[in-house]
Amino acid sequence: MTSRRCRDFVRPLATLGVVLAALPLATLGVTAVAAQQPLHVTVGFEGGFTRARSRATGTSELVSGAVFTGAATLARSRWRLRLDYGQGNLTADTGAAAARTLAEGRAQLGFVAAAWLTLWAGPRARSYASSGIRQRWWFWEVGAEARGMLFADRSYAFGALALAPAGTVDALPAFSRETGVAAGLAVRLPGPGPWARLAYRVDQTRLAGGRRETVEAISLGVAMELRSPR
Amino acid sequence: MRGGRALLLLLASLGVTALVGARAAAAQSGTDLMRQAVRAYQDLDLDVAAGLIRRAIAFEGPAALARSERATAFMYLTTVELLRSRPDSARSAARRLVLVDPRYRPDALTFPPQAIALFTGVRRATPAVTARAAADTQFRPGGEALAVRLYASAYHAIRARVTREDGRGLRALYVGPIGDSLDLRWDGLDSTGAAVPRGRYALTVVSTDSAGHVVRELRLPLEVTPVTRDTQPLPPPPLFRPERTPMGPALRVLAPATLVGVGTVVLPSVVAGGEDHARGRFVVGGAVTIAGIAAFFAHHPARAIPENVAANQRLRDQWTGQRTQIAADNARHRGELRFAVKSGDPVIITPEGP
Repeated sequence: MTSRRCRDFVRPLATLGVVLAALPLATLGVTAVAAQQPLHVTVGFEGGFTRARSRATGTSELVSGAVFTGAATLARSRWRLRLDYGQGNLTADTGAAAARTLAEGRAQLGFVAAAWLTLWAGPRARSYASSGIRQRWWFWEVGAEARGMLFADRSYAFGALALAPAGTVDALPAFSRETGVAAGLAVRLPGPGPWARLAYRVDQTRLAGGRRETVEAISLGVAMELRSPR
Repeated sequence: MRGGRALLLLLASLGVTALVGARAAAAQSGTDLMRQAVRAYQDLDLDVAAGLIRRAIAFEGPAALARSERATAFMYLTTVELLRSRPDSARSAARRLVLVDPRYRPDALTFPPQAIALFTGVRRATPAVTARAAADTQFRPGGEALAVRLYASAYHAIRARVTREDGRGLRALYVGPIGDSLDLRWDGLDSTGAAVPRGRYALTVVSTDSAGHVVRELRLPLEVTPVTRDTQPLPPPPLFRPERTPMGPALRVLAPATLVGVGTVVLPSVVAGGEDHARGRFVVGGAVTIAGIAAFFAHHPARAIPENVAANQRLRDQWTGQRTQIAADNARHRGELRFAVKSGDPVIITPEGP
């Protein structure tokens, strides 16, 4: 059972792995002109409560549970690359639903258009595994994230909008679109410590035939800037 | 035929030469002639020197000698005539020199002692004055005055008065002797104590001999124009420091926090409609909004800055004092009559001739 579950996680994310490997190379190519700029690396970890609801004609399933995510962001000049991966078990909240394992990853390239605005684009993958059945979601997502400083270098609020105009879903009706929003608060812990982030996010995927898949999460995490590897 | 052509060429060349020579002569100035005269004088070619000096003195207009050059020319003429054994002509030249510049003193290194002695004797025997005043001046009639300095050729008696343009007396300024120089002041009033109206006037100084006969008269033209004194502009308000901390920074932190807080509550229904969203989003939205409000007050919006208030009060007091002072000065100046006086070149008239 355990080995099957592992395979279920690994297979849908194989494609994401390729992207994860390719994006840093692309980023390095794009940022060749800024080669003299130092590279900043931020790593983080967050845990949160995730709730996923699936609605189709006449049926509704709700599962929820804790999901833990690791993330890394590479920054050089005005370019950003963020990679994250999260995994957790969701248990059924309604009688018809089956418990499932959620694995989700993201590899996106960002451009800092203004001090307060970063534009993101890249793939996002999600996998549900339940009773040996694996369902893979794949989105090509673009988004914008805005920040507003509350206390200089101590706290900021952020909000993000995302849209996936294209994507694929295994064993389900054709992908229509996905929209998402995220917002939250980041506070630097005392001293030059890590950033603590409280965030809420929700995204909804619409499939042909009126089916909707909505995933919400409230998370709390920390992120820390590492020294430049130069 | 050949002889006729040669004659024609000769006449043409003569004509050109005459034309060029005439132009060259016409182009000469009094200064040029004086330079030639001095050279002739140094070569002891005294007749030529006398002729050149007289021609140089006779120049008028732009080519005429300057006042100082003219005085020097007369001194050279005095010397040349003396050396030509024509003392009367020498004295006449010396007398004219005194009238050109009563203050003139010959250079002992340039002129021989007998010429200097002759000039000195003539100067002492030729009472005359000249006047010097500012070309353009302003003063308040009755309170301030126009200053004129008189220079005399020798000690003698004078009568100084202000006259109208036609010569009628307006105000006597001085009657008495003058030695080397004398300062006169005219306060712009006539003999009745009234300010003179706009017009042309003259300071007339009459030099008299020991018998009281008028021997010379100096006229210094004066043009009097009443003017209104310019008033000073009031000082612009000073640049005050802000007395309260600005609202901008505080609003700039409150606005995004509020937007995020509201967005957290509202946007899920927009992007993922038809769902019963988690109530936990209110916690996140509330946390962001509360943090924004805290940041807003942490920026101390519109808080008074005592140091700036005190500094502004000092500036305001200083500015008000300056305004009051200048306004009072302007009010005083507006009621004040002032004269603008332009003085011309002094003219010496000798009733009986030199």
